[in-house]
Amino acid sequence: MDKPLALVIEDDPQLSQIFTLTLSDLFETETIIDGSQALVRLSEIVPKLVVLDINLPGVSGAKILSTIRSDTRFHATRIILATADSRQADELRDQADIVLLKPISTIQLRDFAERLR
Amino acid sequence: MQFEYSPYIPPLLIAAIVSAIVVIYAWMRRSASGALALFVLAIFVLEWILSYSLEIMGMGLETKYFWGVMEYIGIAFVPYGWLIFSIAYSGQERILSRRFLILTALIPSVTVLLAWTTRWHGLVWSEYHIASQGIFSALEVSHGPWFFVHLFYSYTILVIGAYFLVRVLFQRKGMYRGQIVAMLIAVLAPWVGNALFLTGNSPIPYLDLTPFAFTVSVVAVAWAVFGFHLVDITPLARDSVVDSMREGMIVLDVRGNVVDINNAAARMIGVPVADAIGKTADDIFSPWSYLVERFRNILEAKDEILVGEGEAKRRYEVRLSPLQDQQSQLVGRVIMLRAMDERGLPSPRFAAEAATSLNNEHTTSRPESGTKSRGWLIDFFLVTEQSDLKIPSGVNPNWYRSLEQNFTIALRIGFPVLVIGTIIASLGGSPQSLILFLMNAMCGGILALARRIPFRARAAWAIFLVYAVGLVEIIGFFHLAGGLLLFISAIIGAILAIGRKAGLYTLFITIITLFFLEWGISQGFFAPQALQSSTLIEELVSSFFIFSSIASGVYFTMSAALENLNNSWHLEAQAANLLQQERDLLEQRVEERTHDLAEARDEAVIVSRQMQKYYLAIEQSGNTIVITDTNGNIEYANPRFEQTTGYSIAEALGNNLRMLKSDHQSTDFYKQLWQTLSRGNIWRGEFLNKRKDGSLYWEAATIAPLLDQAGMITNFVANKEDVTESRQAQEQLQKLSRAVEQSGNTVIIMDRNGLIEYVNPKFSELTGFSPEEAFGKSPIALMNGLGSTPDFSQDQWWLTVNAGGIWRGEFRNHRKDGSVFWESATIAPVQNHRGDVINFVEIKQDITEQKVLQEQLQKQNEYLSILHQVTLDLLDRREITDLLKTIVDRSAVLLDAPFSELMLEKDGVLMVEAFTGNQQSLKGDRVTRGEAILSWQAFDTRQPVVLDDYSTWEHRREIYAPGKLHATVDFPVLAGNRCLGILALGRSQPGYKFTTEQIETGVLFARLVALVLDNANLYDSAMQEIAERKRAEYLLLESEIRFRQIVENASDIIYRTDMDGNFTYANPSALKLMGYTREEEALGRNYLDLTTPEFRQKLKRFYDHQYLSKTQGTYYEFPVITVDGQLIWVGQNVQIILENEQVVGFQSVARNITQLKQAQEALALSRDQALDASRFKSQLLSRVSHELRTPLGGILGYAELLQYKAFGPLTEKQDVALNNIIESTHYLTNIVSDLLDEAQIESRSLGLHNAYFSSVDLCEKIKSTMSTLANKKGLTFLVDIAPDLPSEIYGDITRLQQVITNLAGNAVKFTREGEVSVSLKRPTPTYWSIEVRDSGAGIPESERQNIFEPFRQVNNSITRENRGSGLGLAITKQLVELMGGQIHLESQIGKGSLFAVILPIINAPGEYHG
Repeated sequence: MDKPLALVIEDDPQLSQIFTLTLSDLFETETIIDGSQALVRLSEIVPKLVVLDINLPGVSGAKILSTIRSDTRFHATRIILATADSRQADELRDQADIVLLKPISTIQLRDFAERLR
Repeated sequence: MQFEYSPYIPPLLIAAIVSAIVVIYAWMRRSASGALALFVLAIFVLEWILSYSLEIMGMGLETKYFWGVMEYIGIAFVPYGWLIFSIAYSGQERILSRRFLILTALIPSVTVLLAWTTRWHGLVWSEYHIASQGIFSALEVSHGPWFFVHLFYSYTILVIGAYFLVRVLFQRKGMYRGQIVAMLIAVLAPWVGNALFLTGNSPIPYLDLTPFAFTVSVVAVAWAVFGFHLVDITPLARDSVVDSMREGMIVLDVRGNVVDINNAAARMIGVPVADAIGKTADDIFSPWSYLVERFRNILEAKDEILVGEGEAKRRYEVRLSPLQDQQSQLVGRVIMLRAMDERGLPSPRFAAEAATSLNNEHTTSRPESGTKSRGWLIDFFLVTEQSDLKIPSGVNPNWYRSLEQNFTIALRIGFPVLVIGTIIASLGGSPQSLILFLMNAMCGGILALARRIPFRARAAWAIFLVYAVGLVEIIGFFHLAGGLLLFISAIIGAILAIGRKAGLYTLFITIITLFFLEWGISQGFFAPQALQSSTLIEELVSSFFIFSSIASGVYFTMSAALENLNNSWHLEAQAANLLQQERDLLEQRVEERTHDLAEARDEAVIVSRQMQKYYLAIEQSGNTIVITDTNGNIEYANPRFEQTTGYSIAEALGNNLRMLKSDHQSTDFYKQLWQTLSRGNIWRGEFLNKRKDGSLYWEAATIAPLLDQAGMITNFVANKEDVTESRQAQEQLQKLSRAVEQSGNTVIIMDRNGLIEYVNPKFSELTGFSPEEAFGKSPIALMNGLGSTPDFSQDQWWLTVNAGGIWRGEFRNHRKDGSVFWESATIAPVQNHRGDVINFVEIKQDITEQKVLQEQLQKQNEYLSILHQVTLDLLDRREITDLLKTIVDRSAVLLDAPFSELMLEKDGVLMVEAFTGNQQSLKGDRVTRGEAILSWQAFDTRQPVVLDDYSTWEHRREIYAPGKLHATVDFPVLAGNRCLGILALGRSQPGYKFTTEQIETGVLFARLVALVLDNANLYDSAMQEIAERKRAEYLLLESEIRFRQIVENASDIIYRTDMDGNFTYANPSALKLMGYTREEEALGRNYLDLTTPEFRQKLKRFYDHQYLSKTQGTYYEFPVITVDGQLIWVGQNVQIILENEQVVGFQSVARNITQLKQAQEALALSRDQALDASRFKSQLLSRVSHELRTPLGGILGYAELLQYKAFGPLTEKQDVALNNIIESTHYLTNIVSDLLDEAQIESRSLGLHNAYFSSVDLCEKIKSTMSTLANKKGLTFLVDIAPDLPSEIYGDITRLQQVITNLAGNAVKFTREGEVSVSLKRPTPTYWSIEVRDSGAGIPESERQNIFEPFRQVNNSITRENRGSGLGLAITKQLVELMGGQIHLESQIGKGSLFAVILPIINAPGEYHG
């Protein structure tokens, strides 16, 4: 069986790599470091999981989050929000499936990702 | 092939050249009708001639055979071409379909093919050989069967073609006819020759005359072409005649299609000629469709039309005339258009020119003639320049000019031929022929070049030359065709060039010449070269006769044709002249008409000026002047009409005068009016008319009919005057006299001496004196039976009226029967307009009855005065007992009844309150129902009850027995509808009853009693009220003084204004603010003056709003400029002042709030600054947070990945090191989180995310995070929930978890053994608590105060065991306080600590949660 697709949207290359490595045995992963690129890519694919940073160049993570939530194509898409800002985390908690405050434990992330799979 | 010269060649060659010219000419004119057909025909003719020439000239059988069969193209197709030409020319083009052309060409084609192959089948020629006759040699053939087929076919179509031409010949006239005649000659000639040849009657054996006949034929064609413009006659005739006209001409056929149109017309309608032809009139006149409609079915008309707009506007004269054929059948219409305006009007000079050109300059008007040079050689041969030709009278100049030109052309072309012939002859010919040629060449040269020699002379000379050549030919060869043909040519030439007579002379000369020649030959005087003596005599005779007859025939035909031509030309010229005359006439008419119009206009101007005066008079007339037509419809009305009738003139015009009819006048009246008018008489009378608004008015009218010259009525003129007023006056007078006549009063009119002049019927009715008896007497004498008139000159009435006054008074008079009656009289003088008294009018009324009534009234008055007295008496009594006594006494007197008692009702019983002295027994009597029946009856019915004799009444009470009562009456004492009691009266005198008047008086009195009683009661209560009021007033005054003192001494500004905002009161503070010392100065000023100008509008709106909404109290702040110019702020409370629910003003208490205002502003500023700072802090925090956490993520992530061997296996030491890294990272993360939380709290940017959560959930979460930690240290971790704690709590679960984790974490950290417990409780119904208890070392007293401050730990010692940010408790405390709670610490050294957090139980906003 093919592994489901996870889209990692994170502008920090290190974190991006960490997330990818963490998720690699559960998902086919794809990384995007730019908000506007993410929107373009999302118009083409429907990932099972999106790991989404909030502070992104181009389009903000909050905007991407609301875009995904308002599109019925993504009804099965799960979103893990990764943010460094606890207040933003609070504000967006309702829209995301899980909100993780940076620094994110890979163990935790993998754990959640597996459950969401 | 070899050829030899033959003497027949020159004529054939000439024929060929002419044919070629015709071919070229016809081709150039191929667009004209029949030209193309002529072109085809001429081509075939040319082919025939050329082939025949070559046959004759050819040497040897083969050559002759070849050209002989080649001739058949022409032979077979000339009839075919002829047929097509004649059909096309006669205008029957529609026959010439492609199929027709192919079918008719079938047999000729076969003929040609068979002829070319006849050598092998002999169908055309069965045998052929050369036959020679002298120097002439030609083929002699025997014809095969097909030849006769061809012959038959050719003759048939020849006849058919001839039929078409002949038919046209009889239909057409003029030049067209000339053309046809020429064409008939041209075509018949070859066939005559052919017939002669075929029947063997040719004068020369073997010689085919047909081609020779072509000479005639070609001459005829040339004649038609050049003489009659065969090919271009149609366009030329049209061009020259029609197009030279400035008038537009359009020819329509019966269906309305344009069949012809000239340039002028095309210009007028703006459509090119080529486009217009064939279109319908509707199409080409589409811009002027109304004109088409106007003339659609009209055959003959003459009219003027206007076409176009503005600048392009043109006036045209249009003439329509029918076109008829010879049977007078309508074939179409001709429309002539002629521009009438100045630009379009042709001048007479031009007309004259046009006429000249029509007569003389016909050919020069052709566009291509003379104007264009085409090279000198061509110009020379085609003779393009004009000669000054003298044209004989009666000859068509065009024809004559053309003849001369063509004559010259022929000579100029022939001259070089002759020169060449001369050269050839000089080389080898006989001297005889050399001389002939030389002579001919010289003469031809002179004739060709010298155009100055008169044409007739040149022509005669040329004819003579032809004659001479012919003579030489005949002498040389005897009557070979050449000579004879030259003779005939001479004849034709003479006719054409000089005239009929010349032709006749030539005819005679040639015949005589021939006769003498033949006579000479027969006598043997001389012998022609090739004469065969054997056949001499017969041939001489027959050839003479043949020639004579042919020549004569030619002459007569030509003469007739010429005659006809000339006639038709004359006709045309005449027609042109007529046209011109008509045009001149029209011109003249237009001029005359223009002149007439101008005169008429001048006259009209004069008349109109005259009319203007009358018109003004009518317009300004005070009378209404109306002009109507014979039906009464208004054509004119002057302004007065508007004023009188109320209808505007616009409304009136066209309407019938009947609209004014009020229907108050009889139909007979109107009938009589119309009869008078229709007889032509003037009617005078008065109308009662109705205005537009419906009001009526009278008009005196004079209506006069207007007659035209024939005495017919054309209009009516009504001159009307409003007589409503005089009419009304008259009516008023009538009404007045009728009023006098029918008056109920007596009216007498007296003369200056006081003697009766008039009495009205009432007078007679009243007095019994008839008018006749009354006249001439004085009223006094008449009505007092005095015989003579008494002297009344000193009587008061006489003096009064003579002084101009009106006297009023009464007379006691006698009727005729002597009875007395009273009269009230009014006597007034009547004055005329100068103010002189001329009459006296006496109006009298019978007042006898009044007098009686007056007496009765007097009696009543007496009663009333008693009543009045009593009333006054009663009103003076203040003591109620005294009052009641007086009432009974007075009533006894008033009604003349000695017994009187007054009972007042109280609790269903009538109590006797007062009684007359004679009824002491009544004292204290209480009358219940059933006892005093009469009294109760009066009480119940509210009506007086009267009894005539009480003493005999069965229900009488014994209590009244001593008084011997007889007549009694009980009056109810009524106050409104309420009965207060009964006033009872009784009389002791038997039979003395109460009269109605007395009872009425009694009723009035009883009412009075009620009034008096009420009054007495009112008085008592009023006295009481006055006393109370006085007390209240005193109290009020006292309170007002108090309040006034307060207001006056208040530091607040207090003022009142009226509705307009003007002060009605201002307290001293207000006065001080405004800068006044006394209140009077402020009163009347407007409160708006207090504030700055820009605030006035706002303040006004504020008051307006309060007034409109009737809000009781409002608060408003506004700036005030004080008297010393300071700007201060005032805050005022304003109340509206209400009086009877109406707002009458405002009352305001204001205070100087300047300092408050300043403080507020400062506060707002600092708040803004604080907000800015906070916002900045919050942004900073967000950034710091991101910058700190992101690298931490990297460290933690990579470390964990390493630990999980994502990058390969690790050694044990590496693993330990990694664990340390991860632990440190967690630690660092916690510190960062704490720092950020603290910072957030500090910057007040931390918000709580309250929601309902389950208290059990909270415990579970605490347990799951803390148990592991506690267990690691070997501690027991307990969590418990009090049963009364709400299962759902409203709060921020994350932050609560943080609080508990912090506290529990600390507890675990600082406890070495024992247990840590977390308990959720509900100490009071409105609070819940979290208690975290440990069995640790406890916190010393000294530290407890500082423990919640940041970066504080017990002992301030930093060990590995208890390390932390030092912020945990500080954050916890702040979070708890943020949640509205408190945190307490209890601790015992060595025993442990207890942190208790107490939080309020709250509900979500806007929701009640049980």
